[in-house]
Amino acid sequence: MLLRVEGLHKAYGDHEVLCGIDLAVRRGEVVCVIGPSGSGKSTLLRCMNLIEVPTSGRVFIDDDELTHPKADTNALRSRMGMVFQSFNLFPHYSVLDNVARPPQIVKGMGRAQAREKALDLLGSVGLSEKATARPRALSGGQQQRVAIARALAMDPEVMLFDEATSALDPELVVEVLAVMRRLADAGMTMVVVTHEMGFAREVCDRLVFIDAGVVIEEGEPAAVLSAPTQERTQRFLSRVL
Amino acid sequence: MGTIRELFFSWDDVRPYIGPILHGFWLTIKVTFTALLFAAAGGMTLAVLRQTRTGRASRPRRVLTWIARAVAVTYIDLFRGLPALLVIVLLYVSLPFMGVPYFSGMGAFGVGVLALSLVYAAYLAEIFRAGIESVERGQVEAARSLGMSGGQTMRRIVLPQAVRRVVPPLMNEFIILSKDTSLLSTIAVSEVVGAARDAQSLSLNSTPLTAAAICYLVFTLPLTRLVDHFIERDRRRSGGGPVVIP
Repeated sequence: MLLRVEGLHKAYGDHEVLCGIDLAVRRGEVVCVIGPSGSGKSTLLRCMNLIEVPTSGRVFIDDDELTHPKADTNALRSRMGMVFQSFNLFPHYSVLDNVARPPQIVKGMGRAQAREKALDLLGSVGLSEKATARPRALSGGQQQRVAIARALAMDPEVMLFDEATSALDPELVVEVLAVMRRLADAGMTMVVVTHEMGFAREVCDRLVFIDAGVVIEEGEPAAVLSAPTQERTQRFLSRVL
Repeated sequence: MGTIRELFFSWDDVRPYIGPILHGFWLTIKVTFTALLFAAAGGMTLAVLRQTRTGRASRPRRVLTWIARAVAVTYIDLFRGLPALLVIVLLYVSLPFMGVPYFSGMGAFGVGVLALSLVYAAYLAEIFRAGIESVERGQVEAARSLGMSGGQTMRRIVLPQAVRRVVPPLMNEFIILSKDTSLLSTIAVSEVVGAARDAQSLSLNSTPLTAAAICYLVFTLPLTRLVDHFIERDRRRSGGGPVVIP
C-alpha cells in the first residue's frame, strides 16, 4: 500500500469532522472520494499530508509514518503533490517559476535543470506558451493546469486533488479533467475529492463515499454509482446524479 | 510684505550659514537612511518572530518559539508606547556610563541612529506584520504541500508578497522618520534643523529656518509623490477604481 490512513480523527473543538477513517491506496490506483458538503472529505485529504493536523490516527506513505512525532514532515510531504480548489499559485512568480522554483528550493535542483523540467511539464499540460506570463493573467482552468504541473515538478508518488474543478466555470472544467485523466492513464496514484460523477465513473478504480466523517460505502465506481447498498449513499446519489 | 521678506527670505542673512545648513542636511540624510536600514532589518525580524507558530515541533522548540514571540511582543509594545525624544535623551545620557566598551565610545550621531532604529523597528514591525497577515493562507498551504519548510515558506513565498503590499505605508514611515531626525538636535547632532536654529539665533533672522524647510521639502515631496504613485498602481492592479462613481 502506497498511502495508508488508520483510525483518522479530526475535531475542531467539540465538532468532530472525521470520526475514524481507514483508507489504503495501492500504487497506481485512482481513488475518488465523494460525499455531501461538510462530510469531511476535504479534511481527510488535508490530513493526508498534514496540512491539517489530525486529532488522532496515523498516516503512512509507503512505510514511513507522517504522523510520527519525529517524522521529517517536509521530506514526506514533497512525496505527495496537492492540487487545491483555489489553485494557490504564487503570484510573485512567473508561470515558469511557479513550476521551476519549488524543486530548486526544496531539493536544491540546479536552475537550468529545473527550468528545463518545468518547460516539459508546462508542455504536457498544454501551456508552454504561457511560461513567461503571470498567474493572474491566466484563466482559472489554465491556472489549475499550472498548479498540477507545479505539483508534478516535485516527482510525487501520489497526487491529492482537493475539489480541483469546483472553482471553475463549466467550460473550463473539461480541460482540467482531461489533464487529470491523462495523469491517471500514465499510472499516477491519485486521491481525488470531487463532485464530478462522470470523472469518478470513468477514471477512478475505486469510489469512496463519506458522510459525517465516516466511510459509508466503497467499491467499484460503476457498482457504487448504479447500485449503492447503503441508504445514505442512495439518498446522496439521487440528489447529484 | 516687506517685513515677511526680510524675516524669512533674506538671502544676505543666510549666506554665511549655508555651509553648516547643507552639512546638516547631509547629516539628516545619513541618519535617515542608516536608521531606516537598521529599523527595517529589526522590524522584519520582530514581525517574523511574532508570527512564528509551531504545530508539532518538539517541546524545547515550542518553548523557544514562545519566548521569542513574547520578547517580540514586549519590545514592540514598549517602543511603540515611548516618545522617540525620550528614548534619544535616555540613551544619550545613560549609554556612556553603562560600561559597555562599544556604547561608551559612541558619539551623539551613533546614539541618535541607535535610538531612532530602536523606535522605528517597532513601528516597521507592525507594518510588516500587517503585510504578512494579508498573505492568503492558501499560499502557505501550497508551499508546505510542496515540501517547503516553515522558514523557506516565509522567506520565498510570504515575505516577498508581504513586502510588496506594504511599500506605501513603509514609505510613509520613512518620511516620518526623516522628520524625526530633527529630534537629534537635542543631543547636539547638528542635523539640518539644529544647524538652522543655531544660524537663526546668531543672525537674529528666520531665513535659515526657511532654508531648512526647503531642504526637507526637496527630500520629502518626491517621496510623497512616489507613495501616491504606488497606491494608485496597487489600486489599478487590484481592480479598484475611484471611490466616487459619477
